[in-house]
Amino acid sequence: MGEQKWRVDPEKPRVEFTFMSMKRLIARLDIKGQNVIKGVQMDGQRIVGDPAELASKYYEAGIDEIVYLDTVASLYGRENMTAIVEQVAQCIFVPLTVGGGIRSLDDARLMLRSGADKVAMNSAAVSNPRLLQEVSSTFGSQCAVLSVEAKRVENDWEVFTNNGRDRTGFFVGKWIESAQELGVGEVLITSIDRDGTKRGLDLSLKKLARSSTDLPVIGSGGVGSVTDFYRALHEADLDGVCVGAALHSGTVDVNQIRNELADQGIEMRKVS
Amino acid sequence: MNSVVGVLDYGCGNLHSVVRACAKFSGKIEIVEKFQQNSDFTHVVLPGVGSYSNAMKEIRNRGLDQLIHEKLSIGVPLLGICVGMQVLTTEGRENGFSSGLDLIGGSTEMLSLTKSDKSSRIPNMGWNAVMPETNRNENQMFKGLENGFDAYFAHSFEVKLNDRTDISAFSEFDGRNLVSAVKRDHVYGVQFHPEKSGESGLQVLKNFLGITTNS
Repeated sequence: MGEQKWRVDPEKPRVEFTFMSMKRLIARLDIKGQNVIKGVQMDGQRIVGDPAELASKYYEAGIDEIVYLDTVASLYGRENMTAIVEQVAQCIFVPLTVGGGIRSLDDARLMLRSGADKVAMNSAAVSNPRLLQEVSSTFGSQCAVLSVEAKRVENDWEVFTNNGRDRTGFFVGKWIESAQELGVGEVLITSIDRDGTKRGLDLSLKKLARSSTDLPVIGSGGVGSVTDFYRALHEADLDGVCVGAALHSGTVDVNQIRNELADQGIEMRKVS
Repeated sequence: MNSVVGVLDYGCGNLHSVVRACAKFSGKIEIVEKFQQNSDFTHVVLPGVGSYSNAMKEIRNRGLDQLIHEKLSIGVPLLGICVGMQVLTTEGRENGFSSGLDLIGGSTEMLSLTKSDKSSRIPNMGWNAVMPETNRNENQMFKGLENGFDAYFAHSFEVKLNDRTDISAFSEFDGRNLVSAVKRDHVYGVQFHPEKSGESGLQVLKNFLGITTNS
């Protein structure tokens, strides 16, 4: 019965018949105030559009998942985010991850009640790692996402907070290992230096994250082409890739990415 | 259709996405936090995220188990989603043992990986093909969906059923079969999240809400 899973196309016979999990195409929407914004290296942000409109557009186009990251993450930002999440959750029926400003169990609960399926934690997790444990034990591992934003520092990768402004003294490999022990169910790894550049994901960072955990790992920061997806999913064996700037600007589109990756033998969700 | 959907709230589910998805197909949805008499639900949905033992504790504290039994006894169809499907079984085995609703004989156990190629991960998160058992007495849940439609999963536990005929769909995990849907009489369960599985998932919910009482 397992064979029914594979799309049989006589023109393009599949060589491999080993089981592979499907890879995920994720739209990443950075939020500031009422708008989706996009900067380069988390700086110089410009307005891209309306959160609900863009989410609907990408949902209709067949995106597998959506990630919202509040770049301001102030108290105002949090209330604003609740309203946005509620609005977005009305019109999309794929998983929604929300991050930025999740500082407590109550913040996490608020986002989940508003319609998020997962919460991503970075700054608050660094200053209070127990938060990861609280969120995962209360709501389940599947909704606790560790968001790691990293920069290369000498020969290692250091974790940064506050949109790449603050050093933490934490290093990527060890931090991901500890977070897994604290119960998170997924890791979102972003290269700050590649963010918004469309120059390709930093594969050395992605491979480091991959080798640090058995959990699903999602890569972000720098996607500019289908080749970037392929390398992250195949060479670095990530479970999903986030795309922001390249999707907003129309450099790539959801269908094109899905079809080209499927042609290259990456197992993708079938969207009818 | 004139359905009245009772969505059971036991405090740990992200039930609002389930409510919003059901609202596409039903004009009347009620969030039910505790046992209530004289409810006129035509369908009951038990959503779920979180742990088996927590879910069962809250379901019992709120008397929702009583509500479920009462509705089932008059033929109202029930749909359990994810943990909501898992608690339909006899018992859950996570850090010990907790008793479930026992509507479908079997147990809920931690997923385990036996293959060394790490092609699957725990939690099992992401999209996976669902293959309905077509020979089962006209299962209406998967009407209009192709064999191998994709759905979104997010779980670390799976159900093992005593009676194979209670299984209504399989998916693949770690190179083996995983039970991804169950059905016994008018008790239905899906391991995946239909409210998060795009248009295919919405079709599953539409199908469930189209099942009439006593059918």
